[in-house]
Formats: sequence, C-alpha cells, structure tokens
Amino acid sequence: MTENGSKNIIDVKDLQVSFFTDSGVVRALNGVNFAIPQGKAIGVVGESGCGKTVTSYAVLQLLAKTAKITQGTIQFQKRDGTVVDLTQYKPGSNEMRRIRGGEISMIFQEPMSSLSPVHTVYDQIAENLFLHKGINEKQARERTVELLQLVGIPKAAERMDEYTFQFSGGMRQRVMIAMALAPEPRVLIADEPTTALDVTIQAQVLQLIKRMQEEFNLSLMLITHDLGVVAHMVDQVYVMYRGRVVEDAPVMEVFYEPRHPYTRGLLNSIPKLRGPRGKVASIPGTVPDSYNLPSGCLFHPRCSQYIGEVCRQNVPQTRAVSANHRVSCFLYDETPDVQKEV
Amino acid sequence: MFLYLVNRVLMIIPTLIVISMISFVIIQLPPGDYLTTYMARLQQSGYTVDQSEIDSLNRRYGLDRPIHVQYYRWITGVLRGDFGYSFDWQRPVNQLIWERLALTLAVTTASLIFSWILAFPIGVYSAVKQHSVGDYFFTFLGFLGLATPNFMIALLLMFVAHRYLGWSVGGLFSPEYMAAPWSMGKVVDLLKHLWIPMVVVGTAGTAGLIRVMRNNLLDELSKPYVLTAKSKGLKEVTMLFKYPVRLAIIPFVSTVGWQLPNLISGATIVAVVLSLPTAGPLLLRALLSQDMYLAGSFVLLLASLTCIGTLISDVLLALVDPRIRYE
Amino acid sequence: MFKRSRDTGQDSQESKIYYASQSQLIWRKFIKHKLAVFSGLVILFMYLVVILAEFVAPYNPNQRNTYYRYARPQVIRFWSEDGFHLRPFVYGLEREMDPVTLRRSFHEDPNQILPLRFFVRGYEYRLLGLIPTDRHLFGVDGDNVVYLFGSDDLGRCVFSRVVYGARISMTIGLVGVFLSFVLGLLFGGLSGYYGGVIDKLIGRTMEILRSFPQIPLWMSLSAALPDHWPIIRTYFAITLILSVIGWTDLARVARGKIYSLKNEDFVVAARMAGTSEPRIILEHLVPSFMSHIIAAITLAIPGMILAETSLSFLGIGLRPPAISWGVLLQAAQNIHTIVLAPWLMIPGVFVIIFVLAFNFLGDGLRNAADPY
Repeated sequence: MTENGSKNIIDVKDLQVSFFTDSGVVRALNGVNFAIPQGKAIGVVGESGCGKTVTSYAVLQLLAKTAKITQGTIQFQKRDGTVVDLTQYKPGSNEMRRIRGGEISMIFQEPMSSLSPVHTVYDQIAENLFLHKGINEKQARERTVELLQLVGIPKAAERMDEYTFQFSGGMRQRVMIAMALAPEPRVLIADEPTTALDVTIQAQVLQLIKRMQEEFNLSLMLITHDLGVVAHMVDQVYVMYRGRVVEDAPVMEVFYEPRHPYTRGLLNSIPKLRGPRGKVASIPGTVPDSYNLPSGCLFHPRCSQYIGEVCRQNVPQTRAVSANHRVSCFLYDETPDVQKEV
Repeated sequence: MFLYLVNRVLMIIPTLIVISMISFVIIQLPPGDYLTTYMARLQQSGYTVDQSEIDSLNRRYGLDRPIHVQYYRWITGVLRGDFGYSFDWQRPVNQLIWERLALTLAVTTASLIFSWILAFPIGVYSAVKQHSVGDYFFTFLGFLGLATPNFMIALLLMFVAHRYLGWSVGGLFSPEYMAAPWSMGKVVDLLKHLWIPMVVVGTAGTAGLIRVMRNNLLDELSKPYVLTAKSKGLKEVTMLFKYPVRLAIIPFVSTVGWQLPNLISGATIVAVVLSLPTAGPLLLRALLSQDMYLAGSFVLLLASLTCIGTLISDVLLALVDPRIRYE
Repeated sequence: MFKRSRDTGQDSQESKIYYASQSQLIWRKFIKHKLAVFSGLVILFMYLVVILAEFVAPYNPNQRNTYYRYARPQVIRFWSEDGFHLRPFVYGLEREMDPVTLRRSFHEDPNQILPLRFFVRGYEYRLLGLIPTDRHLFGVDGDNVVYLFGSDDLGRCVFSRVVYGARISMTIGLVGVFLSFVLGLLFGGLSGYYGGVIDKLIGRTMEILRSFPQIPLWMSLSAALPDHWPIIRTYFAITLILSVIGWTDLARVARGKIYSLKNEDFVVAARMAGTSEPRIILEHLVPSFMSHIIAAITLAIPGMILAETSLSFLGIGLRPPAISWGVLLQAAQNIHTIVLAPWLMIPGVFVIIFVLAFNFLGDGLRNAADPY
C-alpha cells in the first residue's frame, strides 16, 4: 500500500498465468509487463491465442477455475489513492468485487451473448447502480435513462424496459457500454468491442468509446487483433505474442518505426489503399501449439529475420530502444547495427 | 403473448381428437361388440336378457351402424358427459371415474412438485460442483432411479416399512375414512398417506430432471453473459441464481410436458402395488374384465390430462422466457 | 484464449491419429469410458448366461417340489465351524413349523454341509438347442437341493427361473428396439429428408404419441391380446405394442441428423450425380449417423425392458407358463408374500442391474459417438 510514484493506475509486472488441464499445464501468460497511465488509453494487439484476453481477465480476477496466476503483481491505484496488488485478493472477496465493476469495468466482444436475454436492459444496468452506487429504484431509473441517452440510444426511457433481443447488434453494444459506465469506473477494459459488429457500426462504437474515455477521463485498455482499430484510439500499443509482450511503443512509433519482426508482420498484413497493388502479406505459419512451445524466442519458427542459433536457444530480454519504446528481440541486442532495414 | 396462448390452445384440439380416436379403438379392441359380452355375462350370472333392453342399448350406441357413426355417437356422448356404461360395476362410467381421476391428479401433482423440489437444488449443485464426489454420487443415484421400475421402489418401500418399522403402507385413506364423505378430516388423512406414492412415483422422474437441470446449467455457465455478470462485481451466489440458473430454468420448466405422461404412467402401476383408490387399479381391473367403456374412458381422460400438462408447460414457458412472450 | 489453447491441443492429437477412421476414433473414445466398458462386459456376460441357460440353471424352472415351498436362499460358503473349505458349499435346509401360526419355514442347518459339485448330471436338455446332454454347471449330491435364490410358492427354484426368465426379458427389448429402429428410421428419415408437409405431419403424430401416458396405452393394447395365444405370439405382439410408441425417440434422432446432413456437400454432390433419393438416404446419410443411432438404440432398450417387466408384473403382459422377470415378479405382488419370502424380489435386482448396465453403456456410446 504505497504510493508507487508514477501516475499509472494499473501496473502489471511479470504476470504469469497457467491453465491446469487434464492434458497438462498450459502457460498462457509468460511474464507480461504493461502499465496504464491515469487517463490514458493503451491498446493490446495480437493474434487470437496470444493471451490478450487472459491478461484482461487476470486483472479482473475473472479467470476460469482451471487457470491460476502463478507469478507477478498487478498494482492498482484505488480511488482513494492507495495502491494495492490485485493478485493478493481472492477472486470472490469483497475487496475484489468492489474494484471489479466498481472501479474497473469491462466491455465484451459479443454484445449478443454477453447480455442476458431474459432480463430487461434497465434490470441489467440498474444492477450495477444498486451494487456500486447504493441508490434507490427511482434514482436508478433516472440514471439509466441518462446513461442510455449518453451512449446514443433513442427513446431511452421507453426502451430501457425492453429486452436485449429487441435491440440491434450496435445498439446492444451501446447498452453494454452504458452498463459498464454505470458505476462510474476509472478503468475501462474493452475486449474486441467491435469484432462482432458490422463494419459500418464499428466506427461509431469506437468513436463512442473514445468520447466516453475523454469525457470521463477514463483509463482505457483496448484489446484487439486489428492494428487498424488502435490507430486513433490509444496512446501506447502493446504487441503480444504467445503470452509475452514482444514490443510496446507509442502508437505512432508502432506504425512508423516498428522494431519487432512480428509487429512488422502484423503491419504488413493490413491491406493498404495506396501503394503498389499485390497480395496482402501474411505471417507464415500459425501460433504454436500451447503444449509444445518452441525453444528460445517463441516467434523464431515464423520469423523472417531469424538470425541463427541464438534465437533458437535463448529467450530475448526486453530492452528499451527509446524512451517509451521497448522490444524483445535479439536484433537489438548489444550491437544495434545488426538491424537490417526491411 | 395472447396470440401465442391461443395458438397453443388450438394446437391441442387435433391432439385431443387423435386421443379420442385411440381411446375409441381401445374400446373396440376386444373381439365381439360389448353388447354380446354383456349378454353373455348376464346370462352366465343367471339373468334373462330382455330383448327390449338390448334394442334400447343398440339404438343408443348405434351398434348396428357403421364404425364412424358409432364413434360419433360415442364422442358426442362423451362431450355431454356420458361415458357409457360399466358392465362390471353395473353403473354408468361417469359415476365411477371422477373421484379416482381427482385422486390420480393429486398423486401426480404431488409427485411433480416433489421431483422438482428435489431435482432443482441437486441439479444446480451437480452443475456448479461438476466432477465432485457429490456430483458423481447424485449422477449414480439418478441412474439407479432411472433403472429401477416404479413398482420395485414401491415393493421395497412396503417391505422395509412393514419389516423394520411395522407400518402397513398402502392406500390413500385410513379405514375409517375410506367410505366416508369428504371432510377436512378426510383431506388431512389423505395428505398423511399421500407422501408414499408421491415419493415412489416422483423418484424415477427426479433422476431425469436432475440431468436436465445439470446439463442446462452447465451449458449456461459457459456462456458469455455469465462473465459479464461476474465483471459487475456481483457475489458469486447472487450471480449464479440471477443469471445462469434463471436461464437454465427455461428448459427445466418445459419438461412438464413430458413429465406428466411419465408420472401418470408411473402412478398407474404404483397405484396397483400400493392399492391406491386412483385410476390405475380400476383401469387394470376394467381391462382384465374387458369392461371397455370404463377402460376407454380412463385412457381418454388420462391422456387428456397430459394435454393440460402440455398447456401448463407452454404457459410457464411464456412466463419465464420473454423471447417467447414477444414472439 | 483458454478455448483456443484447447483447440490447438486437439489439433495435435488429430494430427497423430490422422488416418484413424471414424469408427476407430469412436472406439478409442469409448474404451476410455471405463464404466461403459465394464457395463458392456456385464451385458455380454449376461447374454452368455442366457445362451447357456439350461446349463447354468441347476433345475428345470417348472419343476415343482412341494416339500420345499418358500425355501429361503442358501448362501455359498467357504467357511464352516470346521474352518476353511476349498470346495464351496451350502448348508442344507431344515424345515420347521411355527407352533403358533403353524406356518412352515426353513432355516440353514450348519450341521448339514452340502459341497457344491460342478458339471453334475441333472435333467436332460439340448445345449444351444443342438447337443443333447444332462450336465449342469453346479448342483449338490443326492436328494438335497441348492436354491441360491430360494424357492417360490410351488417349490420351484428361483435361481433357475431367473436364468430362464432372462431369456425373454433380455431379448424382448432387442426385438422391440429393432422394430422401433426400422419404424423410427423410416419416419424420421422421411421427415428429415423431405421436410415440409410430411415433416409437419410426422412431427405432429410423434408429438401426440409422446404426450400419451405410455403405461395405460400399453396396458390397454396388451390386455386385448387373447389369453389363448401361444407364448411366442404374445411375445411378438408385445414387442410390437412397445414399438408403437418406442419408435418416436429414434425417429427424432434420425430426423435431426438427416435434417442437418442433407445439405452437406457430399449429399448435394450425390444428388447432382443423379443418385436416387432412397439410395442417398441409405448409402450416404444413414452410415454417417449410424453411431448416433446405435447410441440411441442402446438407450432405448432399457425402456422396453422396464415396460415388459411392468406389464407382466401387472398380469397383462406375458402370462405364465411363460417365464420372464416381470412374470416372476408377479409372485411378489402383495405385501404378505414379500414379507414371507423377500427373495421373490430378486428378479427385480436383475432388471435393475441389466437396465443400469445398458444405460451406462448407452451413455458411453453417445459420448463416444461425438469424437469431435
């Protein structure tokens, strides 16, 4: 419970999570480091299976029963300024439940199935208000209308007594956002909030999230597999691969000066409107099997800039290449001139 | 909602028609028409049969007419409350069946409620504590319940009660109330006796219900809205009952539809073993003595009861599932 | 993420057994299900006993012994007052009379040690219906008797009757299920394949049949069977009656599967190639969901057995002299008999074991039928 000196609302250090399944132990997170500065937005990017979602669940202690945090700390600065390590709380403890929902809210990927089909919109939003704000029924109804108007749902007063299956996909995601904002949280975690939506709706929902973040001075953690999504949304980008952060940098540096071969691969796989026509590049191979992880750098079997034995045998250390830019790759080891232009 | 219910009620009509046809077929099944049987029996017991009586019966049921006319006469009679005549009891059928059916309904309803009360918490427990010792225990018990014929449970219960507790188990009333008219005392007496058939008939159904509840809840527990609910900071138990259990109830409730026929089936046999004054023993006796109007009426009414069960399950379904209400 | 890692785990398994056929996959999955395998073995053993019923049963099931009426079961023992015996034995039965109630009863007499002999000579029969012999699995010397499950009101050996009764009880389900299977596949197939009006019509019929309380219906139908019919005809008539309702479950499985398969590429391809519709159903669709059907059949057998037992118990299914577990249980219908001779409920124990084993087996098969 000390002031951690920085202005990070969440500071995750060396987070390791394993799944204990019948067929063996699977390491889902292998020493993840990241921080969300107060009022800023970070993006966590990677292919499916890289551990982005597990990271967010670990922060909220929502992991499946088979999963355990085996190492690391999650420093969280509470509303009253004290800093606590969330890994020290039991998932069901009162302290954790006050933070979960009350201070850190989450938006999920599937607005369809992430809302209950048999409870009204009001019921699901007001629940958050009763739980964390301790207000009465009448106030809750008023507040729900405000929240729904805030996220742009027309005829909010009438619609709040409807069921979620009576809403369209985009509207459902707005309901979800309203629900997450209801207890006035300080951190918002959005896990692929637009993946399940129509392309035309995606931009609107992203804009809404951005607006809410700025309006309420939220700290945002945006999880996505799509580098394009983070471009206008976040300040710092964390690129994850197979349970590790391989590179993190201010958003513009990621686009203009990507260092890790994996980040470059991801960027190349975004189709471009300008520039030479041709095939959209893809990263060869697939995310490796959790039970048989490769040795050394986990990316080496797919790496286009594989530099030999060292990649196969040693785990690369994270090193800073500039003030806010860190990368884990042997290309930047000791002799920065090994680096080749691509 | 209203339209949905109207639709459901209309759906029952063809079912009832088919049920009445099947019941009519059952009445017609024994070789020869019932009049011949009747006369043979009368003559056996030394009566002389009056030709005018035969003629009047013939006219009444149109026995000399083609089969569809007979069906028409019979079914219109049924609709007016005339279920025909029991030759075995020498009384009109509708004097014999109603109290028995009411008691059947009492036993069945009690068993239904009993099995729900038992299956619901066990199903929730088994799903939440999946693969625990308790889960395996109840699963095994469930299989055992499914594998044991109802009448075996009744026999064993009777045996244990008699041998080790010195009770005589059976019937629904104490001897002093058996023939007495209905009174508060008789109802209390009924309730005292009701629990044994309730437990016996309910046990077999419980096993199936536990599995339904367990499997549905397991399905629901893995759905994304559970995570949403957890992410709000709800207490685990509150979350469990407000969301996944609430949703798992939907298919659970809809099981009334098939549970009622099963319970009525079960109650029929158990009633014979425990000599309950319900439909079962009388139906059996009617069948054995080929007293077909009585037997057919029981089959008709027991099957109709299950239609009502289906309707109840539809209504319950609409109550618990807004998606059906707003269809 | 968790899901994903599980998926990749399966990928690697699949790559290892890439060439395994579907039936091999099902078999491997089934073998892992220990309870189901054990149940399968129990069922196999019971059918073996059925085939060799005359050999296993020490007495003719209809042979009466008026001296030994309601004799209590004798326990197979290895220890007597003299110590351990290598050869199992039973104590002889001694009849006594209650001086007050004048009721006769039996107790085991520890002074009378009757060693069990194996492959003894007894009544004559044809093994497997072919080989004439008079050897039986076990028996005791001389005029003494061995009633492992006691005897009934006429002094007949309950053990022998249970063994013989298994013959009808354990096959009636199979025959009934076979009929249901044919009906279910036919109607379910038509319903699922053609859809539309046919589907609606068959679906409604099934719904109505399922909403019927089965026992009263079965009771009514089987009560109409004439008393004077020979056992074999009654037997088949009852299986027919049981399948009248039984087919709906199988039809539902078949309909669901065909419905989901009929637009698969390989079926469309066959149709394009001009294969006739019945051939598409039989050659392309049925094999691809056979495993599900087998599981459904296995789970349908217990219901048939329970139905036969219940009907015979009520006296309107099979009737003596036919011997089935239900017929045997008929002797245990009233409380006085049960208290006097609780061993008459033993056939019920076999009903439970057999049905339980089939349920476990079917459950295992159903799980295995979905290897993906």
